[in-house]
Amino acid sequence: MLKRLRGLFSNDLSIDLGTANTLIYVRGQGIVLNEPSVVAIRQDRGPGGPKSIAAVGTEAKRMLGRTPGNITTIRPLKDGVIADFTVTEKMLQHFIHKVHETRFFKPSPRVLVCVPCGSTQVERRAIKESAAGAGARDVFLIEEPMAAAIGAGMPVDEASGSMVLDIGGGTSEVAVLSLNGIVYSASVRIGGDRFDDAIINYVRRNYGTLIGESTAEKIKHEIGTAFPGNEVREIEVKGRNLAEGVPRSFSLNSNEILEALQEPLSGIVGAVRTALEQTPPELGADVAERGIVLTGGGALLRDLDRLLMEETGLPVVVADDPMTCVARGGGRALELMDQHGGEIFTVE
Amino acid sequence: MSSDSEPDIDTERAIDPPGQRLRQTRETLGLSRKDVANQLRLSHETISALEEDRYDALPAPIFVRGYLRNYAAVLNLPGDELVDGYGKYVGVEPPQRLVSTDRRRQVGSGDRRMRYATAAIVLVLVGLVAIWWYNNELFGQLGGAPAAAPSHTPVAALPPAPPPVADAPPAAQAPGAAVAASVAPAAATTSPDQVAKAPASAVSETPRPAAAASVTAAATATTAGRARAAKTAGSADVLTLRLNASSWLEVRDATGKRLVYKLGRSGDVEQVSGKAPFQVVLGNSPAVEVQINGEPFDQSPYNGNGRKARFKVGG
Repeated sequence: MLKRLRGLFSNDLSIDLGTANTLIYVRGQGIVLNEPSVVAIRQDRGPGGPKSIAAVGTEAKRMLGRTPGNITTIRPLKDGVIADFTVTEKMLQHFIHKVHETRFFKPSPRVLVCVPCGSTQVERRAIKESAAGAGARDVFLIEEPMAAAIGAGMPVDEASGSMVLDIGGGTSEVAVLSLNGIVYSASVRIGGDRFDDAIINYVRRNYGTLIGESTAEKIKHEIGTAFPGNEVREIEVKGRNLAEGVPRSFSLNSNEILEALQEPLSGIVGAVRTALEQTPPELGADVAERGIVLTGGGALLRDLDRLLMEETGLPVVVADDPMTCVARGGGRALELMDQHGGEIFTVE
Repeated sequence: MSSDSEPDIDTERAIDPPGQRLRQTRETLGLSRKDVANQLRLSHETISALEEDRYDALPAPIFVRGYLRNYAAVLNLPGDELVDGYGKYVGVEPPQRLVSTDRRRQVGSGDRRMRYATAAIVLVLVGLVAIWWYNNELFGQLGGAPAAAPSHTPVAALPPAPPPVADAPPAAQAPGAAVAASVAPAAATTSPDQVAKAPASAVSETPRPAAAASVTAAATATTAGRARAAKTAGSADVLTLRLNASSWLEVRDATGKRLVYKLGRSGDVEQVSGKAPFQVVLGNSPAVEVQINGEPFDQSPYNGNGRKARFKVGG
């Protein structure tokens, strides 16, 4: 009874505070929130006037690039780390509150936040304080590749190497794990956002047409591919023609997008190659035997596993439900922390 | 893909592990295990283990699911079906899918639990009000008891008892009549404090003791009560109201008949006779002196927030 009462007021949360999406995993409930990390801020009465939050999450993302003068949409995270401290805090506050909507009392959960392994002390501290400012009782940090591997169900506690590649919105993390620890990790600031930018640039160069971020993302989701396949997909998009200055409709096919994505993709492949070079030989052999696991939203890019398989010569496997791996892994890490008593995965 | 192998695979797919289907499809496509192993960058043993459903020889489930999907892609088979077949075969459920992109667990007033909670709160409130009202009513009667002649008690206690019974919780309804009966002898023989306790315990939903008490009490009531009632039936009680300032006056006797209903002026003396207890409402209570059968009665405990007082006298 007392346990239930206590559980009612304190829910452990695992937050994947990503550049593109924020996911919240509640212990015992699963993923309860998956929203874009976007905040719309309204500033009435001109510059210097009072600022207020107009929308957060999905609603704010719909406003992206479609706002009037007094509303600005902000993505408070850039390259996996906090770019705007106050707005991040507000966003977290909003999300935590949303998850705790039924509670009578102000929520003060234990929170585990995933951080990119390449983030600096300053950036980690910012994330920690942001979560604490949003009402968290305790804040733990875990490195994203570790969370991703746990979430994917990899045997990280075994004495054998596992390689995970987590492609997020802002960063891609590659790591080799063994015995609950990170043997090698690297982070490159290439992710879903860079794919979108590459598509925007390609369309401007080759079609003389300007498209927005949302359109670029839609193109990526529908026809984006990382490896030349048998079928060629097409999509009809609209953008502003730079020469004529009016919106024009045109069609793109998947081979063009493949060409557009070449540069960011080669960056990711390069990072994986470097990781394999740096991995101690025993662990490298384990990885070669079992393969690399892909997680994160980027893993949903069509045929990315084929590309990596061809480039590295190793088996590549896409995790189940790759988008939520990190958040699920964070939740699992919280449970493991309770079981083992120590803060086995957390980093300062 | 062969047309003859397709139907029996479809029927047995749900329980069959995926190995056989993979092998059959691979053989119909004319591929060797080595070809597939090269394409998937997996070892020959891994492919054999997959086709022979020897999952002990393979790494963790995440890898097996991935291999199956990749293998299925090479053979143009639906990967998810094979992964499901594998999950059923080894009894490993795939990790929980996204519950919802936006699962608001908002509990509105229409929620069942909320409704029950509201109903429970309302019931408790109604119960509390009923108990309070019942007690109030009882004390109102008993407040006048010491002043009144003992001979009046049976008459006084019996008629006003039924109203509280009607408002009491339904469970108490059956013993309610007995409670009323037990009040009478108790008031006649013991102090008012004890009287107050007896009905209070009876009200608090303990019908058994109340009923048990009433059995003995009723027995005495029938004999003693009747005798006294007979003795006092003829005589009427006299209520005198002396006004020091103008006040609203309202008096009803035990039968509910309205005896006085007017605005009294300063200096007026209002004398009424009837059957006690009298229900009195005074608009300006401090300015009125009340006498019952010639004995002064102190109505100040009934003065509410203002000057108004509502009380029973002679009961």
